[in-house]
Amino acid sequence: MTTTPVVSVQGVSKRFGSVAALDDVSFDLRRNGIYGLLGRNGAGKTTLMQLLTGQQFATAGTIRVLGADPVENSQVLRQVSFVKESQRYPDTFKVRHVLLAGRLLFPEWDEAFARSLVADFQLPVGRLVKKLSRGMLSALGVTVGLASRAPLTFFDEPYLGLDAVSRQLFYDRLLADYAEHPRTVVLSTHLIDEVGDLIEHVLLIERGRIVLDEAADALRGQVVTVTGPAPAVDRLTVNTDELHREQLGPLTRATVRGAVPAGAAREAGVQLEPVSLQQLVVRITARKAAS
Amino acid sequence: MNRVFAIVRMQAAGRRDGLVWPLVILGIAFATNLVLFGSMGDEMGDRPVTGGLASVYITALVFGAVAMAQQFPFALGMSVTRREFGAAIGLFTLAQTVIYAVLLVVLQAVEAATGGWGLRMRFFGIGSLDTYGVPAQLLMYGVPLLLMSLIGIALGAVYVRWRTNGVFGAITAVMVVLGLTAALITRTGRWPAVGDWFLDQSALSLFAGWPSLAVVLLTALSWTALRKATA
Repeated sequence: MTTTPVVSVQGVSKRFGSVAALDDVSFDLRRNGIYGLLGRNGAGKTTLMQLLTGQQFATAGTIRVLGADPVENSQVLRQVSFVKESQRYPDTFKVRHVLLAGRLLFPEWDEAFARSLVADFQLPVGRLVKKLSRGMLSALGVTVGLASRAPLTFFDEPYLGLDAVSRQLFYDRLLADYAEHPRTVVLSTHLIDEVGDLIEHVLLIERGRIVLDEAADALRGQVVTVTGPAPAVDRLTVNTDELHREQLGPLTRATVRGAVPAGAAREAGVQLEPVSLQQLVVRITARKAAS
Repeated sequence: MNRVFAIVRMQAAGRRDGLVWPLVILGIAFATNLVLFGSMGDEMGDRPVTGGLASVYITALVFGAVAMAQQFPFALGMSVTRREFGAAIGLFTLAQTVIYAVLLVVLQAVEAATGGWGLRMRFFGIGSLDTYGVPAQLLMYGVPLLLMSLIGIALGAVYVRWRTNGVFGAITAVMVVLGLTAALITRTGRWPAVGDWFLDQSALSLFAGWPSLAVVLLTALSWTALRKATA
């Protein structure tokens, strides 16, 4: 069972009229891991998650979630939680009604955990959801997503409007709970550096296509900046994939993907620096967009 | 099935106000009519019907529409399937209809037994309804109520599937069909025949029989819209 992917997507496309939101997307998600689904606004992240949770219908391709098609599949969907930034709530619902819905609908729901999250985020349970501030609304979504303990949990931009303290709270609670109750978590976000340490695997999506599908650790070592005199930089990066290059007075700084021999670099007076996950995503996205 | 009941419970939780308000409105309408009839004494003709009952039927329509338009996107976000949601909203509406129908039959019986609340007022009774037995009365109160709920639900389902344009399109289509039908009847001079047809119908088929046919059609329409709706 552990070798069966939790999610398997093959050749999936989604069109809205003449717009291709997703174009021939294929990837797998392994059981138990924290995935970062990264990409620019409109890249197709939300659409992809809506397809995986049966909220939208794919135009082409096959999707398997927990071994079956998620569309109208109650057995699959009750094990899936999708916290969406744009989630709408009935006008008459108070915070406690949303928590009740979570308790009623998710088999793995942990009420005590939900209560402690409500206390941590200082959520007013008696308040109408439509009267909540943006940050409170995000905190409510995060609470439902964490307390559902769904084997497959999606967080789509879960921290809009959340202050730094609450965001840290979310990361801490997610990591602690994940350690005790391993599951597959997909985090879709713009705040890449903030979640950089959480993410075990990166899926980068650009204009409806997957452009990167790599373990985060492998990725971190792969991309470096090489700073020094242009001829030396050229020589050292000849076997690498150059993502970006800039000129700083007499120096050249190249961002490259691939192995640069550290010893040779030191001898040539060239400085090697690792690149943050955010920089890496920006560089790769920019290049894919240009090509 | 447990899950469908869970969704019914979820809908009821956020709609407690929605279930109580029609009763409050009905109570106010009833009290107003009592005062009015009391002040009129015996000047009124024989057993007038107040029409105050309409508030229950109109709220049924509104709540059907709101339940579909607002609960569905939330339910879908909580990993509920369209089929489960459809079954739950159907069950909820049916339960609501039964409760109201029983309540109205009881109140109509009290009204009949007390000689129109001692004022010869007909608030809950309509037409020749009191000449029927209790099962027929339940149907005659319940089926129109179900129909009103389903008109609301169908509009809500069209909205979640095709948004505002769909709702306007649907209302326009209904008006065009009704308008053309009326024009056709006028042109062929068949209005008397239409009138005769209505007079030939028993109250039971008029209040329960034909409306139940419309209920079935609207249920089919609602499900057709809902099954491919997205959040």
